[in-house]
Amino acid sequence: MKKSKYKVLSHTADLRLEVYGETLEELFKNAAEALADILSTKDAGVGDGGLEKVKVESLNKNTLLVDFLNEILAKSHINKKIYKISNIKIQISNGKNIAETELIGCPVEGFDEDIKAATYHEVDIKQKDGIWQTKLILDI
Amino acid sequence: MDKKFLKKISDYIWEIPKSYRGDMKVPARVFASEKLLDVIFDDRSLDQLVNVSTLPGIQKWALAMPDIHEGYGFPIGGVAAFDAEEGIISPGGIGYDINCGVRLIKTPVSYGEIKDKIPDLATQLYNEVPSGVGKGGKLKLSNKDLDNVLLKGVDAMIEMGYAIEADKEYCESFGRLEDADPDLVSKTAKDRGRDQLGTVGSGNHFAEVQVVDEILNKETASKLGLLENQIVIMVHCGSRGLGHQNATDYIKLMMSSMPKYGIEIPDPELACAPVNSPEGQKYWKSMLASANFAWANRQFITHLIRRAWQKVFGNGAEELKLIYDVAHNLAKKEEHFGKQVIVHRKGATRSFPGQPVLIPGSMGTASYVLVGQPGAMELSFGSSCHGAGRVMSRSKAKKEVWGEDLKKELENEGISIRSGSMSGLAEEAPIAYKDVDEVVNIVDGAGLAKKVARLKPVAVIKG
Repeated sequence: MKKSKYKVLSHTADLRLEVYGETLEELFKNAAEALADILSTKDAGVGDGGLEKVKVESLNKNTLLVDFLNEILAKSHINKKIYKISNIKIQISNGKNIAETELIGCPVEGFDEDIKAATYHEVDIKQKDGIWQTKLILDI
Repeated sequence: MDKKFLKKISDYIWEIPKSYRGDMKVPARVFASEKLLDVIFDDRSLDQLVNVSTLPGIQKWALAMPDIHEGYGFPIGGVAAFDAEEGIISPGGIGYDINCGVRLIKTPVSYGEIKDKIPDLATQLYNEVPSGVGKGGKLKLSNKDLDNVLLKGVDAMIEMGYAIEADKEYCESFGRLEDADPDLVSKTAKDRGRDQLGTVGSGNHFAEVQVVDEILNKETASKLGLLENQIVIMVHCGSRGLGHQNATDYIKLMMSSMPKYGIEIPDPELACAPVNSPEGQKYWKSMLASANFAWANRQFITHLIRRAWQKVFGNGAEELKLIYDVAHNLAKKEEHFGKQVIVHRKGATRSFPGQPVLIPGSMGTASYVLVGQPGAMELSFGSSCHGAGRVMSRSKAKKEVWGEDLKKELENEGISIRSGSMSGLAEEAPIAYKDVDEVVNIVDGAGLAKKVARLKPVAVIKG
């Protein structure tokens, strides 16, 4: 059976997700995939060539995930693209919390949902039964 | 949270005492009827309200309007006032859509006079006013023009020929907040909003053609120029991507600066800074600039509405005049109980005595014009509700309602629907919201605002 990358939970006004990953890198990648899926349900197709590098530093691993997603979200809105993660490296050590990634941008005509931001509310990245997971609320 | 912790103050006010949780600095109060209270307990909004009551410098109460529902940080429908010298400012108490608000425009015609033209008007409005996500506007702003909009709001629109002087007279704060500093809005925020001036966006944002269904206070309605069966146009939107990014930028900044000020909070989305700290002042001035962008946005949409009107009727665009424009996601410096405070309203409308209060209902149901009452100054830091308030998640609404079916149903009721997204339409189905009549009766009954007129939609334009 295919492993679940994320699932949508109930929230009155916004969008509450639970995101999973066997590694932190996979959790971040799946969260970015959820963001892209919600922005556009249409197949965004192939990238327009070239990789866009993103490096985000933050206070801890929870805020890093949110800041990382907000960085991608802003790029999506400004460049009118859906982004897929080509590769990603997460460094959580020696007081450093860094995500480095290369993104593949796929141009879109418009978006299905207006995600205003990824929020810090309820983000708590933990390992449970060997799987990294967290809740994540997107303001829409 | 359990109902047993609530103390009844009056038929419409319930209090969570300070003793409920050790970190509460003031009690929390919710404006609700007993019937509505049961609905409010369905989500975590009252726990979020208790969290607000723990913030430094909070005055008197953390308040919730009857349309309260779960958000993040502050609940939607939350109001809190903080000491203007010793208190904090929190971007999460204003929301990502800074100065999301409502504008109501009156027309010189009655429903009977233009009934047959309503579908044409709906189509023309849909063509003229961009809606939906990622849809650019018709105005491409240079850096200089964008900074001018951030600095001057509606005044910038007057300079550019998209507004008349009279428009600003009927905007809260005359559509411009002083002390805005465009340089404190990041390049990313500017790039995200640059092509969005004059766009409605999606979600619960809309433009609606409405008919004045019932006058509930003849004297005030007459002063506002509202007549029974008159056609009016309502717009609901905010500062678009520019405001969203500005909030994101400053919540991140405040997250990192809180330890420096010894601030501890129960929810990271309540991230805040002392209002007079460098971080607090930077956010304050950037928020004012974002608010000015939102007023300019609703103003440029008004310009597009006038253009659509002219195209359909051939004349009369100059007769489209503002009744009022209110913000419902904003912090303002005001005096209450003899003290200068920063009032945070997140999904709540200012309701000063004599001020028009505009309450949109859910799609297809009634909206209301009210007028602020003295009770609001005594009970709610001059605030009222901002809408009906959601009760059902968007995903559940989409499972229970087919957009196409809803469109047919509303069109059978005589409402023209123009929407770029059927799933977006389903998300905003009336069953996803509280009964707006019940919500408005509470603010009226509690003495926060008095009902003036009920409006019914005849055309809905949304993304």
